Amino acid sequence: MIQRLRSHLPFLFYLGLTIVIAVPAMSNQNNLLFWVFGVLVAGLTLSIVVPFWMLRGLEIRRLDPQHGAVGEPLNVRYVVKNRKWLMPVFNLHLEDQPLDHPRGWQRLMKPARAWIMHIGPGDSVHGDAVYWPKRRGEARYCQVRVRTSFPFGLVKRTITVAQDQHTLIFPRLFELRRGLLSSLTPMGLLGMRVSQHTGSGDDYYGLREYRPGDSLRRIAWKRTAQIGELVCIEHANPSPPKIRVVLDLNTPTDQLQGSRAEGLSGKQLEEMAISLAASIVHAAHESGYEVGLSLPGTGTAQIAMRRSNWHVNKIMAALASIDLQAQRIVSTGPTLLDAERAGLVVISPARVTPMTSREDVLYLTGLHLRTLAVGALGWETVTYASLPAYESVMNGEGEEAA
Amino acid sequence: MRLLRSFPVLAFCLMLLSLAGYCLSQKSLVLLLVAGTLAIMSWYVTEGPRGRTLPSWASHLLVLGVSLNVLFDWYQNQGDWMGVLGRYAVWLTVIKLYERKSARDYSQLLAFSFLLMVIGSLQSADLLFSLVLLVYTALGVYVLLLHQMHGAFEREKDERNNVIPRGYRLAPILKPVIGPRVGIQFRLFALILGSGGLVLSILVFLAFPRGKGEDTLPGLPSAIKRRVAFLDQVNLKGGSRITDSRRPVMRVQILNQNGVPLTGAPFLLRAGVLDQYHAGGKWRAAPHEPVVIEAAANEFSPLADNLEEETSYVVQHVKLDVAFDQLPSIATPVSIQSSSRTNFEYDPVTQVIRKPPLAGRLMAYDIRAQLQPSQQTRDTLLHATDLDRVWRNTSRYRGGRVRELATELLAGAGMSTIRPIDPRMEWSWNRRAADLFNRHLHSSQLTYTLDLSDVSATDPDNDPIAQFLFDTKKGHCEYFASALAALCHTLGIQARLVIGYVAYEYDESNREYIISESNAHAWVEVRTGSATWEAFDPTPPAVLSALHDVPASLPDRVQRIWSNLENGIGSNFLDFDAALQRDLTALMDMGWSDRLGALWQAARDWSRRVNESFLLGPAGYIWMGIVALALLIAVIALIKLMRRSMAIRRVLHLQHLSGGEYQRMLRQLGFYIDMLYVLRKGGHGKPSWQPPANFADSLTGTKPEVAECVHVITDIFYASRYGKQPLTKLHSQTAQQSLQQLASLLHVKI
Repeated sequence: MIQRLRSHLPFLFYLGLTIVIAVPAMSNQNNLLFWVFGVLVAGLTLSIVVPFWMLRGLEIRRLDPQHGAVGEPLNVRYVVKNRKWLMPVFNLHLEDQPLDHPRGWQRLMKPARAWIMHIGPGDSVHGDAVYWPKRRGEARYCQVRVRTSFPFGLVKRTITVAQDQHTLIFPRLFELRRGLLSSLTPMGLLGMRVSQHTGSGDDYYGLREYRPGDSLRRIAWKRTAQIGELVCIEHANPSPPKIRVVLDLNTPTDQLQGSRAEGLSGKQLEEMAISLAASIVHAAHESGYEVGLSLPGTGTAQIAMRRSNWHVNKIMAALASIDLQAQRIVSTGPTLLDAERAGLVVISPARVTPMTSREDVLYLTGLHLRTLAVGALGWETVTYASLPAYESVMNGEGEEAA
Repeated sequence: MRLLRSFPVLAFCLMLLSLAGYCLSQKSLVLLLVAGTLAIMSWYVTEGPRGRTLPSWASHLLVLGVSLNVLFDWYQNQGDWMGVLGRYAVWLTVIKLYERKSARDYSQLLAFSFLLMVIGSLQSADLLFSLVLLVYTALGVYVLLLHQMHGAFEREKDERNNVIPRGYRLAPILKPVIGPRVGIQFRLFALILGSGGLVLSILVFLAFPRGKGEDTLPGLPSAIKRRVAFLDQVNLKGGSRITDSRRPVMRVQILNQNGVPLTGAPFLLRAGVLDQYHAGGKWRAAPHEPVVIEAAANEFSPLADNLEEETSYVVQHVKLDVAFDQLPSIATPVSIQSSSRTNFEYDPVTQVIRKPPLAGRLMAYDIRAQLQPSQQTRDTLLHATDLDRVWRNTSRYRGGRVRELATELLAGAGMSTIRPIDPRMEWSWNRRAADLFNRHLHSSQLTYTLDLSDVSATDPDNDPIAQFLFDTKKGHCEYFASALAALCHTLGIQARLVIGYVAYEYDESNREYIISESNAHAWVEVRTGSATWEAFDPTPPAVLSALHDVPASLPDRVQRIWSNLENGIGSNFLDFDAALQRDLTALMDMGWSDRLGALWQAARDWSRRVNESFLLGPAGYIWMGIVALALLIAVIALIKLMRRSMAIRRVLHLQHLSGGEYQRMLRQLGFYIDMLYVLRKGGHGKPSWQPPANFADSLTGTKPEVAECVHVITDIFYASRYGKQPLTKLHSQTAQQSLQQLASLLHVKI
């Protein structure tokens, strides 16, 4: 914990005012002004002493924000406990210090502050800072800075508390055009099929002995008559359609050919491809599909096809963690792609490279986001049409473009 | 939230208070009515049910208009630049009250209010303004505290709006994060802070050196008309100490030699004798060589040696409400006492006792005086001064018209207009002539009045005494006394103007006379013997007694209470000066220096006895010094050790342990406390909720080298604390090395 005392412009102004009051007081020997001068000196003294006592005995902790997403607010909560017995704390500002690290949070979002008006003696309260992530990636936090200028705003005293933490910012999601998912899973090849598990479908799965509570409609009467004891029919669980998204990142960023016509760099195309992959995963999950992800070129293990919120978060985390600066590990693609009974979509940033012999594969590039995306999910008014300018801001290539 | 909502109301009250305070300091009822009404209306206009604020263009236009008006104001009142500045601030404040009020606007409004009160302080020192200033300060501290929170709230709202893109309607609304009982805790905190600030401000007020840097800014108008109870001069053309103010000046108890109070009012209290007249109606005291009386504490000291034994005297106990240099006394003073040892200056010519200006403040004294002193006493009190020589060197009044009047009066009474040569006849002639003039002034058509506004407007070249006697025929006691003295001077009669107070109002409950400023009086003393001066009061006695009637009505009593309060604050606060500061310092220093001196003396005695008993000689003192130093170091070391043990016990939760294990951990696990200290100082304090190993892991990502050291120390700590393994020498050395490395990495000194 580092404590610092900082003066700023009001302090200098106040100091000047105090001196200005002292001069006529001495000149006139005016006791009222002497007293006003005394009040000003007392104010100065208290401004230095009170924040010092106020920041003593504070326990600050950042709660794990789980994850955020580009274009959606990210609430970072702080728990502050005042361990002092008698003295309350007023007017606390909490903010995360920018981290001198390639994965520092300040790359991804603008700074934000939490404000706590009051903490009673022995109490603990929660304050939240609302960040607005502009880029996907891993955000690392290191130090929380707590500041107060109470009581008179003349002197700022800060303490810095170290707490290492990191969170993931998921890629921006777009609402895709209807029909995209159904075009990936034509009924002839990958329609509804029998699952390996029992469930509530219409297909026959097998027989089992009767359990109290089973409906009479489910009893297999013929078989019951044959063996002399009650037997029930089990139905198969319907298996949802499956989609595997393959994000082809075999080509390093510097070898990608940007789209001159669109004015997009290779890195922007890669980001658009990641965003498109995330949007497809999200849309498929919402539509009841099982989704899997492969990231050739990144060295990340293939993610199996499942259907759950946790699983989607896992995929999003994998997409968020992609480090485009890292060295690419070139691979020819998952060998099981041909055997999988799932819709397959391969997304490349710029140029499509065939990865499988299957003919029903949908090949897309990052630029397809413009044609497939209807608009950004969430409340931020970003459309596919404004993407280039927007993404350039994301990459820190120009604030004015925003 | 209620706290934050109360801020605009309280800030508005503060603004009104500052406006009222400034108008009070200027004693400008018109400004108070106009600016106050506009300010009050601003609340309804801006915060009312259909609240609207002034558009920025309109406020800019108004500010421009007010600025132009300032130029006009400055042209009209060129000497009163402080007043012009104050009025400018008033109008700017009123305009600002009609504008939109963001946190910044409130800051500006508070700055304006402070400016108004400072200008008021420069221009006024009334009790009412002082009370307003006190209330303003108390309310101001509270409002400033609220302003901090209100401003922070507004800024944070803006900050959040800046972060969140426009159109995003689901952004979390910023609500103040507060704990329970915020209102009472905030008010209590403000009260404690205000009290602490008050104590500190009083300390600064008392300690600030007085009398230094006076007139640093020569052009600065002075608001403080320091209450000088007594001016040692009379100027008939401008300024007078004769006033109808009921502010008390002193309380006098007059007792005869048997201790019985005398109530035969009025008593004339002599405070100054003005024996020189200068052209233009100015009476001044001639410089005389004083006799220094070294008065012991609580003991009457005679004003001259070889005074005959006092058989008939009166004692006056004087309690001053205002500091005096001249000490008022009735009749002929013969001895004086005070509660402290003081050197007084006694003027044998005028028989006035003075306190030297640098002798500190004297607020009570006793004087013995003789109403009818013997000739020997009079001669002794003269200290062999030649009064005739003094008179010859005295500047006197010489007015032709007045001399004609004096001659005419003497002729009318059948007296000779030529002064007798025989001294005994001369004294008698003096008395009779003075009595004649006195009666003439009583009986003539002269009117007593304090309103001399039209008199002072007359031609400044005129002789004010002649003007009083022949033209205006009205004035107060100074005019009457000046006329009598002038009539005497024109005929060569030795006469002098005496200024002081007349004691009328007797307080039965305290058996003392209350002397107010309105009791200031002037009369004349005429020499009627070799060492005898006889008092003549030409002011009409009926008028005087009517003027000084004791107030009986309720408003009079209220005014008296107010005057007492004003006087108390004036004497103790507004008139606090270098002399009083010296007295206070001496008073405070006396106690401490005595105690410290006694302690030091006791230590010296004890060391001498010890040294003598061991027969060590001078080297014994060196030994004792070394032993004392060692003891001091041992005590400091013990305290540090105890604090460290308590810290280890608290941080490592060793409360439940006891015996050898507890002692071992206390002895061996100090390095872990040192590591926490280094981390805290280096900005990487370990949260108390986080286990040590987990904390070390968390550092790996950002500070791998720090994490490495922490890992090493933590492993040793775990082994010793939870593995119950006593630390080996190697472990201790490793821990210490890692600690040193950690400290150097984080640039922390241990």
